Amino acid sequence: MTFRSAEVMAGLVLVAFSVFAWREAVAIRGAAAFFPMAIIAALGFFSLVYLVRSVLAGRQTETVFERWRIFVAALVISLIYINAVVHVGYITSTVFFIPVLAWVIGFRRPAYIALTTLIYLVCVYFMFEVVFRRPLPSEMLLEFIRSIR
Amino acid sequence: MHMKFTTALCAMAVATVGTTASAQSNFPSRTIEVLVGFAAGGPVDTATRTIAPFLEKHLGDGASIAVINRPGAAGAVASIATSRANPDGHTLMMLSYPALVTAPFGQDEAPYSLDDFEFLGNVTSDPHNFFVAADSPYDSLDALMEAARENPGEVTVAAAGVGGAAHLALMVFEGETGLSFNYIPADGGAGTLTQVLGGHVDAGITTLSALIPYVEEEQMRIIASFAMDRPAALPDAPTAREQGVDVLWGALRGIAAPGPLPDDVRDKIAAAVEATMNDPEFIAIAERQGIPLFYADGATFKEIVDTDLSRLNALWESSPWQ
Amino acid sequence: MLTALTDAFFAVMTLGNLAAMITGTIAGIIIGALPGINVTVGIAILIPLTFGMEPLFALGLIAGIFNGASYGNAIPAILLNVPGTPAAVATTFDGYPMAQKGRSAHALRIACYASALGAIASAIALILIAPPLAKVTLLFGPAEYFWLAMLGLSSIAVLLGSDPVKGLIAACFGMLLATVGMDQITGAMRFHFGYWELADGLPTVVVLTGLFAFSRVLMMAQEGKMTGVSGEALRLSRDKDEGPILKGMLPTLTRSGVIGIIVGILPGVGGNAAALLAYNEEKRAAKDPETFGKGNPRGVAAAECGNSADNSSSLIPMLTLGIPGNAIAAIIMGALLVHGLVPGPQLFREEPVIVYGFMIQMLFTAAILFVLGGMVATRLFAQVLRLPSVVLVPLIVSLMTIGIYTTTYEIMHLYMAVGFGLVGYFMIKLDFPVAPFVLGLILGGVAEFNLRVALRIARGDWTYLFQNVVSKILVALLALIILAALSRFIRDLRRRLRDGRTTLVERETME
Repeated sequence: MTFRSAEVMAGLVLVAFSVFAWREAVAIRGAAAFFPMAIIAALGFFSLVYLVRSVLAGRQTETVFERWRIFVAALVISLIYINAVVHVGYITSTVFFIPVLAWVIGFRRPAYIALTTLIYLVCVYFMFEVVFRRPLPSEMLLEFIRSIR
Repeated sequence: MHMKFTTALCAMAVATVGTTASAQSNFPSRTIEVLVGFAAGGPVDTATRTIAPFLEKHLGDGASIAVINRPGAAGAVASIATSRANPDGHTLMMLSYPALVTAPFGQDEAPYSLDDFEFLGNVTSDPHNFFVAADSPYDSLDALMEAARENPGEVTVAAAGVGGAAHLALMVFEGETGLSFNYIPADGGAGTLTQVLGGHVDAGITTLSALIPYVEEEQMRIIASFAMDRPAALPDAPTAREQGVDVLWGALRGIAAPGPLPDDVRDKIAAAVEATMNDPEFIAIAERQGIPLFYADGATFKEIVDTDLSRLNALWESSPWQ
Repeated sequence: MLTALTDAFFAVMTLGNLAAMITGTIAGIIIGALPGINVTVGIAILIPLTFGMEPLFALGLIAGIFNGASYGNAIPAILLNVPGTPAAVATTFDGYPMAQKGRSAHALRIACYASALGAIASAIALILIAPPLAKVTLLFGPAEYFWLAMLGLSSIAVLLGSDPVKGLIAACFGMLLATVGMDQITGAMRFHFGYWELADGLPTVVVLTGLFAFSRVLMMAQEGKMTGVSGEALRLSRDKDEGPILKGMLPTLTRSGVIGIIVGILPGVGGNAAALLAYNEEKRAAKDPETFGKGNPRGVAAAECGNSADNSSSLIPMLTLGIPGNAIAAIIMGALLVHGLVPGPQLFREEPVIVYGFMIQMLFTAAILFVLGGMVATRLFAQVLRLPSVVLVPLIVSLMTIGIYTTTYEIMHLYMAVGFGLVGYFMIKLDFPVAPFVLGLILGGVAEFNLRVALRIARGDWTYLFQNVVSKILVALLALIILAALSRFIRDLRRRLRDGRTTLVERETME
């Protein structure tokens, strides 16, 4: 994809976003709507200028977007991780998450990554749970064992 | 997938309840979380962190309490989370009233009902007050009301947060007197003080605990306290009632839990709250911090909330503030 | 006052109090460096533990935490592009590029010294001129705050860079996001899509963490660099070739220090804006503005000096008037109350040793930071970069997740961080400047709220906005900035026309 077509797409997204935001803004009750509407009008105007400019004279150089599969994989794994942290527990999910993501993006030294994960988790546990008393999300595994007992 | 997770979790929660039901006396079996609907550092947070170690002490059995901040929507986010939590006593909340009852107003779908909560004991009560700068021409409630009568909607009154307790105090006052003021939203209690002290507005409304040092220093003057009687700390501050305006208004904070709790758990926590409120060490620390203690047991607390709810409902019907 | 100062000095100089200040400073550096744990949280947790302590011992800890954290913030900002708090955003602009060039130790040192000097200047201002400065706080009503916010927003003009259209889009986007949530004046909900969690608006820290940290993580994953920075590059001795760290930075530090102190005493604006404004001013005044954002040490110094110079000065309204200007001042006020010290003018009369003692502690902990941060912390933390960047990727995601989650326990905020990570990613890829976005997000709400409140007080009379002396001064400054930016723009345009390049677009294509 050329930089120009990327910019044209971004311009389209911005214009569409402005239209969408405008429709939301007009539904706001009373005086609260004025400021957002003014901002959206400006945003829409500049977005249009940007779009037209990109169509007429964008840069023809190639965009750099190599390894996009890895980009998507990193994104998806992170999203799964976020859910797992909340529902399965922080420690359990992190034990899997760090090695898996590192492996996917190309780091293949098991001992190194295991040690890093361990040190990291000990530090986080110590800082958050012990020193600053911010409870980490509870571990489903532990809860489960406790409930059986 | 998210749904499945939740369902699985609910099933497990039920399983947990099921297995522990037979041996309920082992409460607390893990860390008790006290939810606070405001960010760390505010008055509600400070009160909670002050009381937490004493609750631990009076619960006994090596109970440990973690204070969890769930700020958002004037406490509504924490209220919602509490109402949906497992009613086993391991989730408590420092509720903040009247925000608890006003949050659902104007919403298409009420996120919780008051029956979702178990009220375990009130901790603080802080009456709101009408106040002016010491050099203000409005040196009494009469003078201010006279000005409002002559120029309706011209006299500016700063109060924190539209729909918040201080703003509602103004609305209740307006409803009672039939006068109308120009309400100026301020950035919290501190913003209210700056606006009045800097002479940017004519008067302000905020809580007694925030005002005491200014009144003692003769920088501000309370022209009407919405308390039942003159505050002990400031015997010269007149109440609205003694000046013929029947307005009682203040912020309450107390311990609540998702209901219904098992009887023994409820009694145990309620007893710990009561014991804490009678603990001389706790009272001394709270007094030094200017936390206005006021104990009421769960039933009384609920009664206060229920009584005011009807009044607020009427107010909302006649003049919705959103 | 002099006797009070000397009495306070000797009261502070006990072994126990010194130990408290050192401990506090170390704790502060760690608190600042950890995402999700900030000064307010640190002190809130500390307060119940200080019940039994001597007041000056407890306050020594607090002063240390406060000053230490304002440098601690810079550590993840420089090393990982993760601003621990919004105040550290400006530090990432040049700090991270410096680290990428293998000059992380150098950047950390600059950050440390600039922070310490900013904090020292601020503490001196607090000690010497607190009462007159406090009066300034009261001069600022809604109209003045509106103009102040406009002044800050106008500095976006400086940040626009080579492509004004993209910068303006970013600024508008930031200001629009600032309107999400319940309107503070009418109570109407804006852009909340039925979510209660959005009633208070988008949490700035979450948006910025996503925008800066998660976007960077995605890029690092894509690049897949297998090696870390070598130990050799991290060694501080390398700096010897570069001469004294702060050489020639006196003007930078003076400018940023003054900006930080002034912004600090105005409640509601605070450190977040101080660092950005100091950075903008530095870039504006520089002879080589194009090197900013690419690893210019002066950018780091300006940002860090700015966000530390507001520390002590932000305590001025609280100590002298009893009005806490921000969350940190409020929590410190709580800590004073625990010890029966009621902030306000009477405090100076009744407890001079404690007030001046606390001020001296603010000064001392800043000096401790100079030594401690420079020697120990910098060496230690810079080693993080020895990890290969592909290993840093999951670590940053994990740390970001737990930092955000334990602040509010709200899964929605995690999704938000990922979402803004994607926004940030595409902004970087498409050359949109991020700074105008941040400034719009931080100041857009201040401008709107105060404009509407001012008009409400005046019942719609626009002349109210120009009534006071302070307003007039601010308007004049604003006009100057806009005129200067316009004239520079026109000059640029003329030069381009003369050079035979007809449009901006064409210039863009040639680059």
